[in-house]
Amino acid sequence: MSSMLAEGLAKRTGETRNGTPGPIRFFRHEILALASAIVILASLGMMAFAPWISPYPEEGAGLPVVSHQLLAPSSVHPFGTDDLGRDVLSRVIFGARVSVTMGVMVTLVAIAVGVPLGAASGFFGRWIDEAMMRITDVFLAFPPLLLAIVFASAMGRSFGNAMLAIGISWWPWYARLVRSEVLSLREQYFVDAARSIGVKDIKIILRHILPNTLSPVIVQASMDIGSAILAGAGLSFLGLGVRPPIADWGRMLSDGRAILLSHWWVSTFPGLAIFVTVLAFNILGDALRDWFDPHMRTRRYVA
Amino acid sequence: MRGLYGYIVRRLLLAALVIVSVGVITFFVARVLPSNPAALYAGSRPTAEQLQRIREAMGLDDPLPVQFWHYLGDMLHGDLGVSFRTRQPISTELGRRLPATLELVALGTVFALLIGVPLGVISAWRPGKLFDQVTRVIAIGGVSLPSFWLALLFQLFFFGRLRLLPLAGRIDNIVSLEHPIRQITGFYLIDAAATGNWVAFKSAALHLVLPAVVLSLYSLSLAARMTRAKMLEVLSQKYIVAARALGLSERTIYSRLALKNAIIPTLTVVGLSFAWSITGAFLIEVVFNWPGVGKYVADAIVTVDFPVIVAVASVVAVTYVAINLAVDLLTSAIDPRVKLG
Repeated sequence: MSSMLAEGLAKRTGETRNGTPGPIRFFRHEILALASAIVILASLGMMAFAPWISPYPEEGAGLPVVSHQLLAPSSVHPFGTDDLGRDVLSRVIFGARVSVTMGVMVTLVAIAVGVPLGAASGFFGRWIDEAMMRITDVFLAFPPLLLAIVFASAMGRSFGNAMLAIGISWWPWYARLVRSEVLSLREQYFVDAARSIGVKDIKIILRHILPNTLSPVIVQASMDIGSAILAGAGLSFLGLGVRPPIADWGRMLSDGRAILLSHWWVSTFPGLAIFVTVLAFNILGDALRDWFDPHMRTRRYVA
Repeated sequence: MRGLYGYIVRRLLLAALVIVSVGVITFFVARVLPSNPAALYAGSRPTAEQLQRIREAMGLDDPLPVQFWHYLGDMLHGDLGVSFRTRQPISTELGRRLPATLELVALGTVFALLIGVPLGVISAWRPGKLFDQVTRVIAIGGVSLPSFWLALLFQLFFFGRLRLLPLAGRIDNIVSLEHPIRQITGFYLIDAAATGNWVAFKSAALHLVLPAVVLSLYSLSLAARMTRAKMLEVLSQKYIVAARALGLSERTIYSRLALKNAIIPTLTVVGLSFAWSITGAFLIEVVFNWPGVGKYVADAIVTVDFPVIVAVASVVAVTYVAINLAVDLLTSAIDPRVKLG
């Protein structure tokens, strides 16, 4: 078939060139994923426009208002105020900046480190592969959060350190994932074909192999962002995240603990924000995985 | 080396290598990375002399390999250092707190399996139908919930509103004074039951409910999803199709053939959930004021008691490796195909 005919057919059935159904069909079929995507976009919007959409932006950023301490939720303060008189709704909106950025950045760092290492390991094989497997074994041997706690304690509490701390424990998954994909891709005929006409190894990896590892990485990443947000919140709950007065959901939960029974709103709403955001990312990731899975077996490779 | 023995030996060597590497990494993060490691061990506002004394005591001016050698040697001898805050040896404190955490983690894992595995099995019976969908939602919700938030909500509801379950702690203070539990294993449930101390047993059990349930939620969701996936995978195998063709009823196929094979990944699930629960327990112990290892570390973080943080991290990491090793070996003993891997 000529490529023009293939393209025309593909467009009509809603498929992209490599046979995976495109995004429009995906969102039409999976309503839940659409809802999640909307929630995620909303949280991204909250992050970007926090000063403009929160009712009390200075309080959101950390300004205490002594006269309004610990007010119950009302029409003036829908989520109430905290122990420093700050509007909890504004704090939650500002808190999205730290938490969601943490989740996304951690995942990006893990991908940036893990994918190339995994690809190299799977492609070149032999001792590079063995070494990489042992190294990932070691990092995977640490229970989640533990290495992050030691690292953040040693290097001081800050956003960057917390991000690095969690990222260290995250990258081995991607290395392993990409490695196993590359191992099977390596045997494909188009790799031999490219080699035979003299294409250098590095170009084969970049141009032919990596694009085909994209879908499992995307699926893993979308689920990981949720877990990364949870991990970041856990770290700040323990006191290892950003320093006050920067709004951060985990720390807000921890701060409200002492007054939980009498003033339930201070801890409840930040926790709700964490839950809804992580849920959205997880549902999206789950739907993406189901969507890609049956089609992965029959797709044509981008060669 | 071939065969089961070869696999065991290889696995043990790998575990040993990983443990040493864990030591290297914790050593690296604790001593090499920070700009002034002595300050970390000195607490707040140390004087110059204090710093110098600590530098000498820790051997920080020695070459790195020598430092590491001493560090490893200390650990292997059970000397995990001294807590800065309490000036007590860390190993004794850890020994005292370990049963509390283990009791919590064990109960959480039991809950997770008792509820999660049947959920997965029943979901796979009719995939796509209502029960399956509901389980899927529960499972995704379970892994999305911040455990510390759920713990707070439980406290609010079951103690604050309903006064049904206790707020925090392992046992009621008055009960522990009037009916003290004789310490045999350190597990309150076992010790109280063994000595017939039913008042204390009831109090300890009530205190265990909320933390264990919160802890079990994540592993429960994992267990349900993994069991379901494994059951579906097994059901699509050829021998199931053959059994159907031979006329065996769906019920028999499901219970006799599919179920047995799906039990194997349950071991992996146990290992995974146990491992996750170790760090999950940290956060839950903080919320419920549970006197375990997790709270020990959490307090150490707040007071920047660095020796405790490093020591506990090493111990927990080694435990983690040991558990994974045990799970792998058990799995290979049961499933002959794994030995070749």
